[in-house]
Amino acid sequence: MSNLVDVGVYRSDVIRRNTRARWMQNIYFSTLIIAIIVLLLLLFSIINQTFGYVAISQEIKAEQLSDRPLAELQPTELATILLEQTPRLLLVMVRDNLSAVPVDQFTSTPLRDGINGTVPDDLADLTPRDLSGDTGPAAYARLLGDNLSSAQLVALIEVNVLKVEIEQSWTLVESLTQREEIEASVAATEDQEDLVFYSWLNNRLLTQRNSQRVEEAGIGPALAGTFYLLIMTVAISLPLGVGAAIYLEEYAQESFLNRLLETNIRNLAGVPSIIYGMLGLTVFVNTLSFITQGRSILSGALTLSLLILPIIITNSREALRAVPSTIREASYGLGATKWQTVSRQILPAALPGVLTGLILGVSRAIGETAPLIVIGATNSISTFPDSPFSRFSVLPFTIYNWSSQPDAAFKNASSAAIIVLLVLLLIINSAAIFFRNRAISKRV
Amino acid sequence: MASEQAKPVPSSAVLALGDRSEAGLKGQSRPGEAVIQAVLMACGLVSVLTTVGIIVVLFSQTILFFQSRAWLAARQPVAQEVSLATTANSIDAAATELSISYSDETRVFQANQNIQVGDEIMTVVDRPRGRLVVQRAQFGTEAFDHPAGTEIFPMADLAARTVDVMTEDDLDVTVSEGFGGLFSIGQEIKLGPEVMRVVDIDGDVLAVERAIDSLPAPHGANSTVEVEDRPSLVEFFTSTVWQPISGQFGIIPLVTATMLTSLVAMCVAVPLGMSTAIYLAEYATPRVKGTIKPILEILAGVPTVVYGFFALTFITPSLRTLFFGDNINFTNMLAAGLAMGILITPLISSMCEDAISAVPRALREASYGLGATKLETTIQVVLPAAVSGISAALIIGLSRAVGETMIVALASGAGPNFTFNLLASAETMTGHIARISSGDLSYGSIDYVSIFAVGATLFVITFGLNVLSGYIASRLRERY
Amino acid sequence: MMPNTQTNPSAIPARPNAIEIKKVDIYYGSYRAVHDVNIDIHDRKISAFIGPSGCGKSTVLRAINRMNDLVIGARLEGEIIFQGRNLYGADIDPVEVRRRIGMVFQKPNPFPKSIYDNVAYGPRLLGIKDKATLDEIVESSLKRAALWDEVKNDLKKSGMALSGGQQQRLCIARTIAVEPEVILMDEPCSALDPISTQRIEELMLELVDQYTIVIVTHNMQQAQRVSDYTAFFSIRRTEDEATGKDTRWGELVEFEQTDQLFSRPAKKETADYISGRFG
Repeated sequence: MSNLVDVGVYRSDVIRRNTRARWMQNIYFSTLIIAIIVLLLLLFSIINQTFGYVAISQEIKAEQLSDRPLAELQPTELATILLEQTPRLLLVMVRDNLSAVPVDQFTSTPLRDGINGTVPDDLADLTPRDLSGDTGPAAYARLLGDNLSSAQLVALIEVNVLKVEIEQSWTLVESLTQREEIEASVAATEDQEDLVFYSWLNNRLLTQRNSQRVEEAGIGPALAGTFYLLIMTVAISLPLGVGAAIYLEEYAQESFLNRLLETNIRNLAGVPSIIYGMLGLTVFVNTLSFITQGRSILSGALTLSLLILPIIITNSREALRAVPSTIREASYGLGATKWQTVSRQILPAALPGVLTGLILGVSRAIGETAPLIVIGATNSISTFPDSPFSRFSVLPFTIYNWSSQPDAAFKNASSAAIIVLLVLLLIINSAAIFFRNRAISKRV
Repeated sequence: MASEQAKPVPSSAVLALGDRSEAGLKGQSRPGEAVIQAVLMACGLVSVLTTVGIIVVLFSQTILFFQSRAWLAARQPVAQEVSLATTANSIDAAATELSISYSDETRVFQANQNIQVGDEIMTVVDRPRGRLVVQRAQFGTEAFDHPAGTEIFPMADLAARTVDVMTEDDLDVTVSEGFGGLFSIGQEIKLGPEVMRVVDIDGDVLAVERAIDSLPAPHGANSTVEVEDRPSLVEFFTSTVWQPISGQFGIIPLVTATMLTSLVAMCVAVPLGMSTAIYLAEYATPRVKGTIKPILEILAGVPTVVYGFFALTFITPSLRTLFFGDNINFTNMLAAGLAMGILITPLISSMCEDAISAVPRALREASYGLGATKLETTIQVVLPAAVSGISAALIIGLSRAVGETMIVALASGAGPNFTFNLLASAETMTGHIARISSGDLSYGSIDYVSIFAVGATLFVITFGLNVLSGYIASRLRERY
Repeated sequence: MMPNTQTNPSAIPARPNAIEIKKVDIYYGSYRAVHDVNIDIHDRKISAFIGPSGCGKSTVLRAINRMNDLVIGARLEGEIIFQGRNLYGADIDPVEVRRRIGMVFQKPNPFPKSIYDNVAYGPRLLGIKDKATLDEIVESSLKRAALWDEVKNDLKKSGMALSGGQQQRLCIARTIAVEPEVILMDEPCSALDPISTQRIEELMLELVDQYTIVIVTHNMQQAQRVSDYTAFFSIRRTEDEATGKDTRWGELVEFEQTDQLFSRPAKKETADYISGRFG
């Protein structure tokens, strides 16, 4: 036992143990640094791909079309350029950009009904079939000039007249550090190529439709699809989730059914999201196709609603539980029925918490891709969704699709789309924080 | 009563507040309230219906999968006489991609097509420009190294056909040369409408028992010999090839890829997550906590498809430049697993932190009071006391990794591949479901029902892990 | 007592006071919890700290083995002298301090490990791996804590499966297994029934032959029964007239031999407290 009181040996041992403790503390701390580094790398790799030099080739230079930069021209002037350069393509341009009817009916519908926008009176009763002669291109040019913005027309000119093609792209780091090499390699190519510092995150990306050509590909319909889907998901899941939460918190007594509900909700939260997709595929897309019209936004919204229901229920229950019982007692004491108490006192008091839960659910839904792949989100449909029964694309699906394209330039476009997605998430989560803080400040 | 002393209430107010007679105190039926309660309960039941729906859908389709009895022509790939391309670089026995000489020629190959390179038969999985992603060593051949310039012969699947006319009485079927090996004794074969059973095989001559479930009929020469093709449970759990379209139903390659990627993820997430949790729970000042927790929440909130992109465009290229060079595939399990590890680290760290914080302060004080350092207290007292919460967290993390789809769909590879090489590409269960279903599936086809069999397996695994985790966590509550 | 459990007397220099608390102020952040405490704790005697709730007696006790270091923002001014050295000096390691000055807590807090592992925990930390030595330490510690006879047959049983009184004696055994020189007890009997309390008190009287014991107690009878010296703490308060803010802190009123403090208290405040007129 003397070893325990031998101060000399003992002292040195403590120093060793303390050193070890400090070392491990540093190791623990270093993992926090790793977490920060990973987050920075993630952001860096996205930004790195979004900006940088691209080598652009074009058949005709913009200066050959006009003395002034294209962006400064009026829509009618731009339409004239299109008329001069590509008269035969104007019908397709009108149909793709202005048609208000399905593609197969367009040529037989009078322009008054077939066009989404203003139509000059002298053209109103004519169908595209009537315009098949030499008068057609001039008429189409008028329609384009009247109804499209300068930016849209410039985009059409770039694609159809200038035939802008992105031959190669470089990352931001490469662009900053290896500028000379890049310039040299572009100068060495046989084609006439221009080196342009390009932001893949631009107006065209945000508004245009998807395309096989990366120069034209945009996330317009996907972004619209995401919004459409989210609104419908909220409309379905909010009443269901809050209703279930009210039932569990205010009505349910301890019984087998309620224990079953609770266990069930806990377990549902752990089911992989792709399984929800398979449920949706079978039930909503196939079995209930007479309601949902198959692979539609509605099917997607129903599936996502089931997916985020556990999140909404759990958060709403917490919010309801946080309402002081004095409020309940005061309301009952005045002779209110249960539903009067719930609807007029408890729900308004719990609203910020319920909204926080809803937003958490939505921010989960916004990034979900796997179930929508199974449901049948598609990138090949490049029209904007116009009803709950449209086929659809969503932003994360576009990111997936572009990331898996062999053409490397699509990865740049994909990273720009990721920035859009992350910004959306940031906005939604800021809203959640705002509601949470307001709820807290109210309670105090 | 108090009201006796109060001034009489004006009669209009009495009317406004309702009945004051004795009858008004009796129980009233409030149909509105009952309806509302029923509606609210129905909302709750939606979640139960979801679970029931998931189970019914997955398992009914899986049963359909195992019942799908089809007669397929007995086929065997045979190399064509003219080669379509040559290999552009040499490939070793482990590679799963080969570059070919004329980049445009990849279009002449089809996914799922068999090709012969040297003496080896491979199956084309994908054909990005200029390259072929293949499964090596198919149809009993072995993987060899092949030099650049090896010719690639396309293989056509030729059906086994009868050579001679067959009467009602003949008991021998002679099949096309070299096709005898496709059959086995006891197997049922079908010629036209008639089912027969093979009783003996001699080279390409099959001795058969005629007319198993119908009358014997005559068959002309050159009739296709069909064999029954039905996935069996044994094949499902033991075969190492998954190709439903060609009748091969072994889920093992998908399961191994899932397990390998999840294992890599756990190797990242367990040390990182636990260490972060220990630091946050035991060491961190409130200010450090306030900085780190939002960062972890951001990491947890990033959509998984973004992690997939990160794995594909950052992790793999970095691994390639820093460590593995050309040994690492363009899509591979290692990068997918690393990205998945980053994804589940915040989940594990926050659950572990909760478990560690739940350990009573008294235990820590007892340890410090005996002269233990902070490290000794943490390792020897706090962690053992929190072990059930920590194990529950790790299991939930594993379950999340197993069910994660987008990272593996993008970064782990397309096409089932039975391999333990982390640098190779291999498709996981979730990745397979995503890839197969991203094409337009026709309802009821073998591809359609096969993904449900995979889905059911995935569901059973994740559900089992979740239940286990819940059980372990509930033991924690009993302890304190 | 087993002869081998006796520490070698020559290793411990003779000293009148085991611990000298000199002009101690203790702060939590900017809040001063205790002000100007001076106590000389006598070697191999039992000293009791009594006083109303919130008077800082536990705070002072926990300052003696630097347990307060674990509270974020806690700070001490003044000196606590142990074996001629200031425990709050720059060169002093709190880990070593806590090994020398052990502590028994208010609520029994055995580790969720076996009885054996509970007692062997400390010696193992100190690097003792030899099974025979550990067995010997566990046995002698449990014997000295008067628990051996009750548990000797199931040392593998979880320490948490014992009754409250047994758990507290296990905690005492765990503390003496690392051979401290001082044992601090923070209301060790407050969670126990009277019979268990009596056993712990008897145990204290046995242990005082070898250890200096400091006990915080709410129970004045307990202080009278077991202690040789008693310190009485009380709450001082001032009201800031400008802000109306009420400030409270604990102070030592009196430290005396127990008999004298209870029979002839020097201060009126002490007399009021022990006769139950205040507190």
